[in-house]
Amino acid sequence: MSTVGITQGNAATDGLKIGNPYRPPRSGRRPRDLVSRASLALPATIIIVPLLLVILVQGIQLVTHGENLLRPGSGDRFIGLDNFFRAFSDPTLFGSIRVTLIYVFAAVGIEMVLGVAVALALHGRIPGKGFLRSLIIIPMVLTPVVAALMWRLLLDPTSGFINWFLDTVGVGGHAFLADPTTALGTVILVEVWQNTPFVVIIVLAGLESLDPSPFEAAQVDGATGIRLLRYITLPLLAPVLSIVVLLRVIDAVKTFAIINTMTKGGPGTSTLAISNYVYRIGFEAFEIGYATTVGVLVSVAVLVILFPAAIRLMGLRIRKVRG
Amino acid sequence: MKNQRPALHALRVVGVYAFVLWCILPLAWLVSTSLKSDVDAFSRVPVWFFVPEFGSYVDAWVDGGMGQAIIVSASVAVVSSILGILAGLPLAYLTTQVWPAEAPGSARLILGVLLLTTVPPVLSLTPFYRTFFSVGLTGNPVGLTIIHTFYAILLAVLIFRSFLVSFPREIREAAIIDGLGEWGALLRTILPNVWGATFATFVLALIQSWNEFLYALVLTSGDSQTVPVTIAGFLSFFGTNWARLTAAGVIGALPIVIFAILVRKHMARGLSFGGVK
Repeated sequence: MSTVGITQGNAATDGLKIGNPYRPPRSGRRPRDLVSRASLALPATIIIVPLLLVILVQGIQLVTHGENLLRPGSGDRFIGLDNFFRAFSDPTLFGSIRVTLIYVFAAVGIEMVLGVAVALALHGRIPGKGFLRSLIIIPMVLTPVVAALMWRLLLDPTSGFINWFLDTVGVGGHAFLADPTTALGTVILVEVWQNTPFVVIIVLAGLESLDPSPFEAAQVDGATGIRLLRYITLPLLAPVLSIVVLLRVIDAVKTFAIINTMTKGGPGTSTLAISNYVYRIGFEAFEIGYATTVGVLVSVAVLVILFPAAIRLMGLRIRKVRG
Repeated sequence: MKNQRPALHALRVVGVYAFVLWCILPLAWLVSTSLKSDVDAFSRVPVWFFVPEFGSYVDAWVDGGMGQAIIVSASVAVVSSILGILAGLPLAYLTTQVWPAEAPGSARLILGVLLLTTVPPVLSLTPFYRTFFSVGLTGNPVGLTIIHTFYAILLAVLIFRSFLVSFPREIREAAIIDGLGEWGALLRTILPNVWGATFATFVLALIQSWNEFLYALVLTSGDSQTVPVTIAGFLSFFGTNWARLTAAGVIGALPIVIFAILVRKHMARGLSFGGVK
């Protein structure tokens, strides 16, 4: 059973395979250089730039017009900033921002605590480790719509396993998804079920790539258990942990499929996360202009909050290089 | 960890197995429900012993259109993943090998990619829908493939960059001096060393596309619906016909789960964009 399987060896040290690069040297490479360099960016540019133009041009058109897909001609009505004024006095929007914040903080918080604990427990000798690792991956790659469907089956008030179980042990069943006080907690549970494995897999790979010498030194000094974890393991793991948090937050903010499949944002607006709200405005009420406005506002907010962290954690800073 | 007390070790093992059961038991319930008869699947008291039936699978595949959905999903996922790699690898090569990773131009490009990765899809959902609808790219898989290619490129650039950033630049320089152009150097000296990353990118892009729901829901309809959209449609159409619903779920999820287990080796590094080596 492979215990080192999860980490990909560094390509640079794995032995380099190089095809025969010999060709007669060319002369006058300078202008050709620039062209061939630009051509490297060409395939990506062909796809990305037109799409960005669509977002920009169509986006500006949509946010400044009160288009409703059901009313032909409504797209021609210029309304200036009215969509924005509407957004700032839209209680449902603020409600959905609140739902999203609770969802992200609660879900990512639980995923991190649980995921790190499981990764620490998995690190070291465990019978059947390779097999366990394969099983843990399954929730993470499972189609979210299927995961949500599966939990709806388990939570079904009449034929679901969970309610039968709760009845049997005497707690009493509950229509978890139909009750506004429990619905959000329930979709968070599904998010946690699905994405904790992501934390486990990456933190475990991080643990396995740590240099063992600080641990040996600390053990020689008599550090054990909690103290070893608190003062050696977690600090060494900090870079990996922060990237995992970042990636989970970026992903959780985008949540749509689980909520749309389980509750469609309901009951009422109790589980209406921001993506679900935009979908509801744009493709159920067909107010595509206002939907775009909400999308723009939320995206700007997300970028302002997350992007600086993303730059720092991915080790990307534009250094001011002179000369 | 070597001289751990037996009680602690036992606790660890129990904890890990409990977590794995929490991951797996719901799936076992999903699969077993799909093999039950309609009546057993709907039973109030769980039916533990039953003769497996595959009728629900036939229903889901033929009447439910899962066969068609799998073809659509597979085509969209494979085409967008391949295009994503073809476009992403040269860009990652440009920003790590041709320009050093610290160069301002290179860092700016990667910041742009990171920005597009961070921004929620709700920003572009309506503009893409509006434009694609007016040029006839909705209701067929073409528009969705373009969007999934866009996301596959972002994924490919970040993953390839994490692999290439530590790759020695001298090798490319030697190849260039020997007269290979940039594309020649990329194909002959870089590509043979990043097959693992290429494979990982391919499968992660495949999973991403297969599971994607929001754009698929908006941009496809009828015969062009992907697997998640078809299953979600089942849910509102057949209500709680659990046997058929779960059969559709198993059919839709199985290909991707098998793929993922096969490439588990490359996953951690790909998933964290090089955050763990």
